[in-house]
Amino acid sequence: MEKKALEELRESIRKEVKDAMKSEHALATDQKDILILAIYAAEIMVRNGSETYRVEDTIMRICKSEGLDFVEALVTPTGILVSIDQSHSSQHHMLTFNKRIQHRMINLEKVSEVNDFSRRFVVKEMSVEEGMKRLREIDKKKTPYQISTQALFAGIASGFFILLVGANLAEFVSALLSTIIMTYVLGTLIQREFSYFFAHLTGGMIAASLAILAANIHPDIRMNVVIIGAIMVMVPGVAITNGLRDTVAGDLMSGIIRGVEAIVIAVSIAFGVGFVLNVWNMVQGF
Amino acid sequence: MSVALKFVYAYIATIGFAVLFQVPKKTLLRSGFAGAIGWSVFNLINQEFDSVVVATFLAAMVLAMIGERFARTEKQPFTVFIIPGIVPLVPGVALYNTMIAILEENYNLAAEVGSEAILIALAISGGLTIVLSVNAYLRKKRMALAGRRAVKIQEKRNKLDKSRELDPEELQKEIEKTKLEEYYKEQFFDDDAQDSANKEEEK
Repeated sequence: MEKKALEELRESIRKEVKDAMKSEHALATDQKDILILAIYAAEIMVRNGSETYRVEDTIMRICKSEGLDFVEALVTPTGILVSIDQSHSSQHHMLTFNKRIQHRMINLEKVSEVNDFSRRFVVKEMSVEEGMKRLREIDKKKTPYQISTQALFAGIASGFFILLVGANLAEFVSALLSTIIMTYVLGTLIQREFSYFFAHLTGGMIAASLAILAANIHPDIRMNVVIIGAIMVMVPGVAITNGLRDTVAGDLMSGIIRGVEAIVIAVSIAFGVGFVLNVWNMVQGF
Repeated sequence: MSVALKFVYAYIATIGFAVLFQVPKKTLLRSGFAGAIGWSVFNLINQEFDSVVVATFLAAMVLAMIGERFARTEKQPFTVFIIPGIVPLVPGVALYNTMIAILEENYNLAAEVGSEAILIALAISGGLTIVLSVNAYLRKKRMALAGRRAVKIQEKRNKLDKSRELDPEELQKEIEKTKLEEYYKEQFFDDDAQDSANKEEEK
């Protein structure tokens, strides 16, 4: 009996100490630091192609876990806006921060990692400083696949896709090679932060030029099939899917932004391919 | 071409698209599987009923269901499985034909093929949306259930130990915790995998 009472006493002391430490911690960490951390996590997610509701959710969870009970987040693919406040505190002011996002790419691994980070942070496995450090690590981490690997796999994907729609072996090989070259150039352009329109325009032009070249080398190769294989790699499937998911979740602004992004990509591909084909038809006409 | 051979081609093609979208390495094979099943459904229904739009719609639904399933078992965001899988269904061929028709100034054909492209895109999004909405509802329900489970556990504990009084704050915390656990179940890496990944990085 005595042992049990002692254990209970210990438990209560432990709890008191923990609570005291917690409140001290809440006072010691600046509201601003938490806001910066939440914004940074959100920025990495948006830049790597996460859906909007997931980003807003992450911001809310990070801020609320640190005792900020008023959090409003507005996330779009082109910018983040967050306001925070504490209801029982007169010494802090309401803070709002606005982060503009210029370039987006798709790196689903980084999205997964920030998700994992937020889970660890929310259950207080790390302090705000450690959290900042971890986020910087994730942000600077290199992509799991180099551009050359990506290009190789894009070639394989395009080759096997046109086999599915009934291509022959010669077309398979030419689609493989032309897509590898096209994806390498496209990836490099996007990495150097050229605009989407310019990058996909160039990609479309390269795809069409190489397909014309291949069709003239071997009589079995149909130009259309090779071009279709190459543009399947560029088609904005991700933008369409994420845009629709955002729209359905009620984030209409994000949905529209992503939809417009998809249209811009589709139009620029068509522009590039169409331009080269038109020029080729004119050259043949002479 | 046999169905099995097409399945293999679709599998390899989807893995290629998955690498392009940089999905984590350990989910590549499953992404490929989802895509291959999606394409096979599309192919079979298209052959049987000769309707690209209906086939795409059903294939997108099946794909979304498989993606949801894998997301739960693998603890990954389900985008990882769905995005590579939909690429073979995306109306690339129809878009290309539209563009060619516009280049040839054959606007009737362009309208015909173009509306087919739009219909296919709508079919994909419709199929995905239906499954995802139903799933979102089920998930909310699961979270509510988890909360109720936490209450029950707390009540049981109180019954066993009558000296302890029901602490509403503690109860609330417990509910939040179980809800959080349920919430994070399908979105994140499991701990062991993450830890081993960290260890590899340290090495």
